[in-house]
Amino acid sequence: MLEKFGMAECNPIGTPLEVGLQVVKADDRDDALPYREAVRSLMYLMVGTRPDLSFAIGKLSRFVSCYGRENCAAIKRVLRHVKGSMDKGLVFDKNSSCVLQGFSDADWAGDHETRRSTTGFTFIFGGAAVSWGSELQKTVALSTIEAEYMALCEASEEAVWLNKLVQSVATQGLRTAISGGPINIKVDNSGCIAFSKNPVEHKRTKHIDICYHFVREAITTDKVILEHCATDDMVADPMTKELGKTKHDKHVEAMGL
Amino acid sequence: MTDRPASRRVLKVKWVYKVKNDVHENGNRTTRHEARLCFLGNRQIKGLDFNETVAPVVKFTTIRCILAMTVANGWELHQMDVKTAFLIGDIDDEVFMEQRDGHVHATYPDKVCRLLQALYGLKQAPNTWYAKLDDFLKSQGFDNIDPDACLYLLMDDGEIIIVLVYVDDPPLVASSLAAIYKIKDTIHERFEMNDLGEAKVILGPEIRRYKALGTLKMSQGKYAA
Repeated sequence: MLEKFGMAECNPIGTPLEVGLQVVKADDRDDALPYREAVRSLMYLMVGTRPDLSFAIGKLSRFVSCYGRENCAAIKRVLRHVKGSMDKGLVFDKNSSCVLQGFSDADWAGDHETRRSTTGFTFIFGGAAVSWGSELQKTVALSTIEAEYMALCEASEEAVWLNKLVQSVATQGLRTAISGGPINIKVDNSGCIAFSKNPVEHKRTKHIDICYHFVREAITTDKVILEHCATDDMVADPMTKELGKTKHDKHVEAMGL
Repeated sequence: MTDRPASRRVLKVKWVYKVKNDVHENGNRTTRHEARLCFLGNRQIKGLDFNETVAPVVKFTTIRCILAMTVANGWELHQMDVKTAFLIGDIDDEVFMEQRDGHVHATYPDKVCRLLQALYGLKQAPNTWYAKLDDFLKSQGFDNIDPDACLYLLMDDGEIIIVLVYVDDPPLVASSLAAIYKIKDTIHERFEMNDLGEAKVILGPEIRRYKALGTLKMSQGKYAA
């Protein structure tokens, strides 16, 4: 892939995106690099084995019809990051936990054009990430609780499906057999956890759309269980924003890469 | 062979040639010449020449979950490859084909062929192959589990056997080597296939297994380069 985009000899770089990077729609198209092809090729890599690229690709793929010099520079940086991490892959380990562990996170109003927030989630199973996602939310969130709540909705949907999948293969006596209990999802926003468990409507949350209350149902029917974790331990953090190298590497390692 | 249908389009076929350079494990290189008869599926009309074209493939997430379980439970992971899978499916729709250039029947040069089996390039080829494999696996007692239509599961005498359907090279997972050989034999009896041994590549990503350490690495280094 790097060869195809003339980046085989580029200098590697530590993180896929610059911290605080804002990319906007460009008026003049810059065809220095086949932008769409690069997004497409990187996306395949991301979907297969590279959850660490999901935020960068999610962000840059919004500009396939209006890319300019800045966007091209950003995608080049992603390619440079790939150059420095070519041997990275998911490592599943026998000695790791065989219980599905979810992480759900959101940034708040990270997209400066629409002020929408980004959902990020990942599920770790057997030592490495098996499922992940990074997606711009569909509506504007008025508070961080709301953004986290919307993210949690997506994570819960995925948790329910993953649980079904794992359960259907797991039989008694296997290490991967689960008792059928709820899937644990870690969230770094205690307000969001409280709101998910306690259906109190008040001024700041009364407008949240019904579809997101899927979370509450998933909790009351014992499909998921929420647990608080510190922001520093939030493995899904790199799915919601650009991080510095130290943090990025730490979370990426936790994903089994 | 049949008479030319009055109100239907009769489609053509063409030969597609390919030179394949294989690098073997021992470093030897061989060149194979491949010739495939391809149907010009781009001229097929929906509702007449084809209806259903959907052929599901296994999800990446499912594969990763199964890999995690394979490692955790010390299962075996093998790979095989069904030969010319797209020629196997049966065609229910009426599709007509011109006689091939150079192979026109001496007595009936005006007749056309009606396809009974699939060809490369035919729109319904992937779908009919999937249907064929689905039928076969179900006849062997496999269950098609609900979360992923391409995960086939069989519990046989305490052994777990999993077939992940991905077009023509399904990865096989089983709780013992004996079970792997058994399922391979079963599939082999029905379809012509290549046994690729322990899986090294699954739908693109490379698989490296370190059994002594109990780890498995799934990466795309070759693709990224």
